[in-house]
Amino acid sequence: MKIAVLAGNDRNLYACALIQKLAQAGYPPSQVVLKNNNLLNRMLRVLKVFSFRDIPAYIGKIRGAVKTDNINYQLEEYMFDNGLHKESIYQLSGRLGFQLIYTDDVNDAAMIRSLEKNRPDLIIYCSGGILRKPLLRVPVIGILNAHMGLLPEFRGMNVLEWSLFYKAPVGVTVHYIDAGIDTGDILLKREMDITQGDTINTLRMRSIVLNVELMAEAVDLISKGRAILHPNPAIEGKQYFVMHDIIRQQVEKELRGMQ
Amino acid sequence: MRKILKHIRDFVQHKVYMPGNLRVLIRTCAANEVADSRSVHMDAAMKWLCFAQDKSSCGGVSAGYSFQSGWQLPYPETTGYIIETFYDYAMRIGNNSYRFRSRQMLDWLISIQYENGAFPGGLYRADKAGNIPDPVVFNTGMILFGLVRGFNEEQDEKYLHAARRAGDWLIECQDEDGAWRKCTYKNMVHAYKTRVAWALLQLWKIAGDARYRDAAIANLEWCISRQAENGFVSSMSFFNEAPYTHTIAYTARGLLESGIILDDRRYISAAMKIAWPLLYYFEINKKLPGQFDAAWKPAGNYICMTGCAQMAIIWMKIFRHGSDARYLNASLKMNDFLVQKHCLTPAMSHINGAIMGSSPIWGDYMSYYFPNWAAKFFVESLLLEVEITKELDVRK
Repeated sequence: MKIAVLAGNDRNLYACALIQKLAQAGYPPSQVVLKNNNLLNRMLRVLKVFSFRDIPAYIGKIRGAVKTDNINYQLEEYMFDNGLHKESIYQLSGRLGFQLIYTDDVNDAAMIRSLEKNRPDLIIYCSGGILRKPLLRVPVIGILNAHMGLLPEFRGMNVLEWSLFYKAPVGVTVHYIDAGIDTGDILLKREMDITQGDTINTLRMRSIVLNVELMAEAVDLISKGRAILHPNPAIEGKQYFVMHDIIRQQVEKELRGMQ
Repeated sequence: MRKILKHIRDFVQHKVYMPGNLRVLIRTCAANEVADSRSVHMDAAMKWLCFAQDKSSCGGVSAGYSFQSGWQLPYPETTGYIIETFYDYAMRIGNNSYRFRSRQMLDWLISIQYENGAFPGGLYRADKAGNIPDPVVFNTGMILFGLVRGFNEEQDEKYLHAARRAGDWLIECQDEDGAWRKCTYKNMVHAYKTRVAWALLQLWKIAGDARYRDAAIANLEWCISRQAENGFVSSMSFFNEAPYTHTIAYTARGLLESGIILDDRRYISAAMKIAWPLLYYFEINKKLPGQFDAAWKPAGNYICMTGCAQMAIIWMKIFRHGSDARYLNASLKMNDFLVQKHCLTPAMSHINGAIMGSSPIWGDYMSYYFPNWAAKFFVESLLLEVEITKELDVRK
């Protein structure tokens, strides 16, 4: 089975772990797409929405995120335990021999042509923004995504936090991507326990580990023709957006109180 | 080219070239100071409203500050609903001077009420010949909010009496189908008069006269009969333009609050059908343009600041009523945006605490103007946020 991965940026640890996990399971990707994600490009994207005076705040946000949130100790530990190396996607390509495709936009026509030449059976989405219809039509089987919440109830952004806010179970869902927001058919979903001392950040880290596990499992099921699809009707859930800090703090507080 | 010419014309017409105005223009374009606490912003906006009241020297609140002609004449309509905000703020900070100011506003409004119970439209000015502005339905309805609140707070019968007279006139003017077509702004029929219906329901609650309730219901029914499947209601605009978020929010708020008072899910749903597309647009695009067309496509590339504050209030009220936290989430983000744009400039007392009509200030809604109602809805939104976040803190 030919697999392509949309990895986002070169330092995406989730993509790094997943690519190696798939290779270990006998499904090494043949192509990996990376976004030209330099600071200038990202700032230009911010400018489309905000203005010049938001740039300092944006840089501060990026620096803050690098210092704390982006270090996923749980994923690093998981990788170490499973013999997966922490390296850049570029380094991985040298070791595993997959083709690297660089693009400013994953929906770019030239990028889609590069993917089509190889005609992948499956594309695995790790990061890279909203996917448009031409890209959705490229793979023979479909594009898989691991969603950090339980579908169909919680669609969109920060769904782990929103699940906690509503005191609903937290977990991960692997589903196909279609033209809607997290509305493609569901392959697998698994709940996650909340344990003593958990915070939003630790739960996010754990759910990324679960993403890797579940995605590898889903690819195996598809390859063996044993995948069972479950409908994912949008009407049975709600689409959520980035959670405001005030609500996030409330969720953290309630999470501490639950333990 | 037409746009550039329009900007040049506005520049001259609004006297932007004057040094004082140029300073204000630069100030509104520069990065704003954002205080750590919402209280600082509320306090500054309330002080600016007090300043606007003092500028009119009659008890009413000046309509605002404009580049073209400085402080404006008192505006009876908005003075009417500013009364509520002053009472709310007095209660929050325990300062009776705001109550006293509310009474000044009430007494001024009663002094300008017409024989037939109506109130004048537009800014209040009696010319040399003693001609006074025509009575207007919407403005009378907005003043009704103040009179009802005044009676509830002061238990003074004169406010109830004035409110009843205003309510009776509103019923007299209403057409059989529930709409108001006589004594309206530009002689147009407007869906946003659901706010008048809401004011009549408030009067019904204190006066107990079912005629007020029935008139309100007739208007609400007329309004929802004009609502399309996508939530858009025809006639939400002042004239024939794509409606401003200001008047869209007026329409939605009237439906929502009336639905809550009457415990009628249909009106609440109708309000939510208006509120949701705007919320969705705001969440996806991180900003809410000042005008929308009937397909909920933006019809302007500026932001109507008062519309933003009004939508934040509506979203919070919907959250409070139904517990869908996406509405609260969007309103918190909207309030963040508003405080970023709020003028905290002690060196310029005439705009210190004010909210501009549009962002950028040359936008199509109240260009180069700081309207009092923008500051009013801004304070109301922050007050509600403080209240709701407290409730959130103790939720089960």
